[in-house]
Amino acid sequence: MKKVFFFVMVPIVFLVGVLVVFMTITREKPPKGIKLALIDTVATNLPKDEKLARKELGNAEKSLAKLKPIKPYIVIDTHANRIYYRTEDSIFLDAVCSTGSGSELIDSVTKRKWIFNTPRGVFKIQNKIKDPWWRKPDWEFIETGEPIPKAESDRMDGNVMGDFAMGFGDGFFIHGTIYERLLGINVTHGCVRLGTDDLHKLVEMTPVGTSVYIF
Amino acid sequence: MIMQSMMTSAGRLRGPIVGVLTVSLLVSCGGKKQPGATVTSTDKQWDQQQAELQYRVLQAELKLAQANKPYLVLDLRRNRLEIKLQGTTVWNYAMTLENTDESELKKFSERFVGSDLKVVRPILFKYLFAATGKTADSILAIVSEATTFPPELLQRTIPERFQLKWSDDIVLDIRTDVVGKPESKWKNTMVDIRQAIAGHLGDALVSVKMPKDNAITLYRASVIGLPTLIYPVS
Repeated sequence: MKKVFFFVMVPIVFLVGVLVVFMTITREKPPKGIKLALIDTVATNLPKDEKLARKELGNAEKSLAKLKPIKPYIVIDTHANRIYYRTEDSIFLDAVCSTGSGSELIDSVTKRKWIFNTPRGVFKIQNKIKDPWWRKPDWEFIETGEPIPKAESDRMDGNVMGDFAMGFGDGFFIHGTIYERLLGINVTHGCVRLGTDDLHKLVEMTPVGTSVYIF
Repeated sequence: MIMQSMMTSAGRLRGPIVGVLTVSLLVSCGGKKQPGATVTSTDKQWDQQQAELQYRVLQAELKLAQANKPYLVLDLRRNRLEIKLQGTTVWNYAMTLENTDESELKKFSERFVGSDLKVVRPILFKYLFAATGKTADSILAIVSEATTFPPELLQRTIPERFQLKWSDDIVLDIRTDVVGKPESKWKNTMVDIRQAIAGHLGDALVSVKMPKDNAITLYRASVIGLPTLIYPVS
């Protein structure tokens, strides 16, 4: 009996010990400082009375539904460099684009600094411009090592933004490009570049006021 | 001998491990059964418990939507993964489950919600098993010169397999058709073995197959701390 106990229990205890040690040493430590304070403050007590509870639930459903756009919206996925014209369940346009490089430029003379990111968040199409001209900002000259011109006309370039530009605020545009081979790569200074065909389709579909979601 | 067998695939270990753990009575599988969450204000049949969970989901989403930041939604009612911004879907993927049945999905859902009806958890870990290598091709080299950006940084990591993990060992495993290079074979094996064991101790793992384009977005958007909202299984 003792022998049986020894030959059964000892290996079991040994194996369990090995498992416990293995599971302990391979356990990852969670990163510090991650909190969901917002969620912790959510009031989640539904009234016990059925009638009141139904009303409360209905109000919450309505509030959430209100957030969803009724009309199609533009989504710019900076992670995969894709642009969509879509609703909640349907996609009307799915095209490759180019978004901000995330690179940094510092003017060695004035120490001014630029970070070329496409802004994230929710915006609206503010205007649609046919045959747009680009007014070159200071960073364009600093980046290329040219002197910043004094005459406004020296900043204007009518050949780089394609056939259309749609502004979504703060000087950012969805526009065409002469560098179509670079679509799909994060190379822009923050604007969103599209190929000619896709740009034409998007401009035709998109009314001014359309929501633009960038993530 | 033990170490040798551990180094083999995790799947082979399942049998013996179950045996050992059963005999030693250390197994404490499963969790408390959670109610479903499909009650709406207009449903004829009223279930207060389900309604409370649904209310929590709605309240949590309203709060998440107020922030101007994206959040991930695990919609287990429709088997859909979504990224939302201000309550609006900006990315979605109809999940193709791999080696995962309905019971495992339910277990995942129940474990996520837990006994305290937790419907939001932040992503705590992101583990990349393998991805395509980055190569500096000629176009990127030209762009790199113009943008003073290393060509490697202009490329996206295309994941072959990665995992997102929340607290309480809740794991979403994503696989693509891409053939990549393992980040670390040794670490990958350890992670697989650990999860094979943990799976029998009640941990929840759901495996999803995904096209590479979708996987790129999910991989890059799923930053550590990203709030994740669950629509629990009914």
